[in-house]
Amino acid sequence: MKLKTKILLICSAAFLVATLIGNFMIWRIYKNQLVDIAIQNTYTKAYSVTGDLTRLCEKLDGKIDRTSAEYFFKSEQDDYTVCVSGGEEYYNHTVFSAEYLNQQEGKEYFGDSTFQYCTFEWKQKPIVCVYSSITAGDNPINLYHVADISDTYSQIYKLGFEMLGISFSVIALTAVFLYFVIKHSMGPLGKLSETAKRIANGKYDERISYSRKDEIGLLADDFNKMASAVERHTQEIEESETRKTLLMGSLTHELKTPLTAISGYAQTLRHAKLSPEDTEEALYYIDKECGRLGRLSRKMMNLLELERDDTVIRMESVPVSRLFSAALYACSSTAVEKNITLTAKDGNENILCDVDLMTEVLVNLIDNAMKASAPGSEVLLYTEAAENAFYIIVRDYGSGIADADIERIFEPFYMADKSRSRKSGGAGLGLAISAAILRKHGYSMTVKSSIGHGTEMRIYISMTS
Amino acid sequence: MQSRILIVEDDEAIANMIAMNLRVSGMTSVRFDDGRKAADSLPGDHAFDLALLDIMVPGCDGFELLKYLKPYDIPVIFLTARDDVSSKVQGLQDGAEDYMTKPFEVLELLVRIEKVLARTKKLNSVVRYAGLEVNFEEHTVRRDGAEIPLKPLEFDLFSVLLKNKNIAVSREDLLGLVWGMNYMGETRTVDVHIGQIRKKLGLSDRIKTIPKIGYRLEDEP
Repeated sequence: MKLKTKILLICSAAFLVATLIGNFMIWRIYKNQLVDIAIQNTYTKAYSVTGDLTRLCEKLDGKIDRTSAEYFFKSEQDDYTVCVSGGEEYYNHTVFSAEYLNQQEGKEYFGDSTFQYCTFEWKQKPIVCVYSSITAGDNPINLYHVADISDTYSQIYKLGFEMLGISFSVIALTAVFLYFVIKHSMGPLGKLSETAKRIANGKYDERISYSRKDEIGLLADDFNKMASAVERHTQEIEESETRKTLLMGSLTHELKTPLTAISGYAQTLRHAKLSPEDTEEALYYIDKECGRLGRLSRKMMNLLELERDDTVIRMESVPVSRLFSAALYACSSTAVEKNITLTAKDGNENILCDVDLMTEVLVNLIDNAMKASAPGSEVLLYTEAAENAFYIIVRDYGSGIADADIERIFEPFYMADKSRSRKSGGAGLGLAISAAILRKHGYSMTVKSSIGHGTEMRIYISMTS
Repeated sequence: MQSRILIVEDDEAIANMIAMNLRVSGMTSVRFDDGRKAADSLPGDHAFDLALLDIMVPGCDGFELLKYLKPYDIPVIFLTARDDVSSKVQGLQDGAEDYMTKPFEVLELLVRIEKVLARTKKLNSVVRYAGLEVNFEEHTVRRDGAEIPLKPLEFDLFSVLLKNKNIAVSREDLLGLVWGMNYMGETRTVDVHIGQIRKKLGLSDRIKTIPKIGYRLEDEP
């Protein structure tokens, strides 16, 4: 059953029961009051008759007999009083015998008066009887005044039915009102569910527009927040997947070259009649290409390790100059070999990083810079202050990078100058690894370069992150 | 006359490997590791019987280089790691004779080179070897002008060995190349026919049995 229907039914039922109970209580009070009034009226009648008879009795010096009593009641036109003295009925125009009336149980006194009353049912009619007595001479006179209070009861039942009718019409009206209230406040839930379905079907940019600030509004807000988070995460996963797929594609491509050489030489060794020099050369290339495959797989492992979300890096705060000296030390022999001067300056800032990984980034950048540089030139390392941040810059005065290549140099296996990089033993993964390391740290890298004037690799270190 | 092959390949190891195999099977080669340099050298030297081109080479890619080779009527075989259909289609549509993807089998490369050379009539129809004169057009073998009668299958088998001189060809490959891919016979058939050729042509010491592989026709006994 729908929540809407459920709430409507439960509320209507509860309201109906409450109204019925309330009306019933009110009806009960009215009923008692009306019955009381009817009894009181009877009492008043009985009181006045008793009073009149008492005065007559005093006038006659207590000598009331059947004749005088009959005369009194007939002149009063009283058909509702039974007059009894010494067991003899002086007057009785009612349908009850004095004995029958006397036998009724549950007699009660009116307040502190000597009058008693009782109610009973006769032929399904409610009857009130008021008992009073007068002292007249030797025998007391007992008076029984009866009254039929059916009218009062029919009035009471009529009232009851009217109240019941009012109750049901109120319930009907309330139910209609409730229906609209519920529909109005539950409506957005339907929208919520529709949107959730669309999001589940892959439309991650769907949102709910709902401006009211009630619970459903809050729910809609939370829902939208959740949808945004899902969208963001999905996007991140998709991006990372795309990166990995591209990486895998490039990797298979990149594996084919050394594999072709190795299998080609192996086949040549098996099938061809080779001179000892050729045999030696074939073996040399097989060995060399195997080394290249090994380096490639190690670097790939590095990169994949860095791309994994659960890889934790050990952050510590160190002066940049320490990274500079570590990187320069690692690159010094190559620099001497290529006759390139490596210079580091500044670097007083502290950087929060994993020292080994960040040194690797610098070594990669210096390595690239040296590959692009002509012998005798210089590679510079320095820092530059920025607002709440600083840059670590690796600058060379080498060949520079063409604009078309700049966007792609961070892609794995992309080499701006393929043949030169290959000859110098590069796999095309250095910058991709560096970018992955920086991404892991939350830092970023930009490139400024012009052909013939050299390249500036700028690592942006934010101090707030 | 030896066939002269142009190799444009930026990976030194692979270029060297191809050149080594061409040399062993009696061809000469010229190597370039840059497409632009290869294109620039063509006006000065374009006496090539065939070009083996890598597509992704620096300077000027293989598709581009193909256009420079066309005026000189040099047939082209692409040799590349790009195995997507669109590259293959482009390469062949642009006028390449063949398209091979890396990694490749050396023997397959040599057979394809030979097929292309035969198709483009750049292969000599008469080859002299160890006092024999082999005429591929007439399907005849002569010694001192006298024809040695060979059955058609024996001639085909001998010509495969001769064209892949100094390279061992496995029994399976021989079955495939001579009898056809669908031939269901046993490798022993090859041994029987090799025996016949050795006897008829007197090449017992030149057709070497290479253990675990097959047979190799060598230059010297």
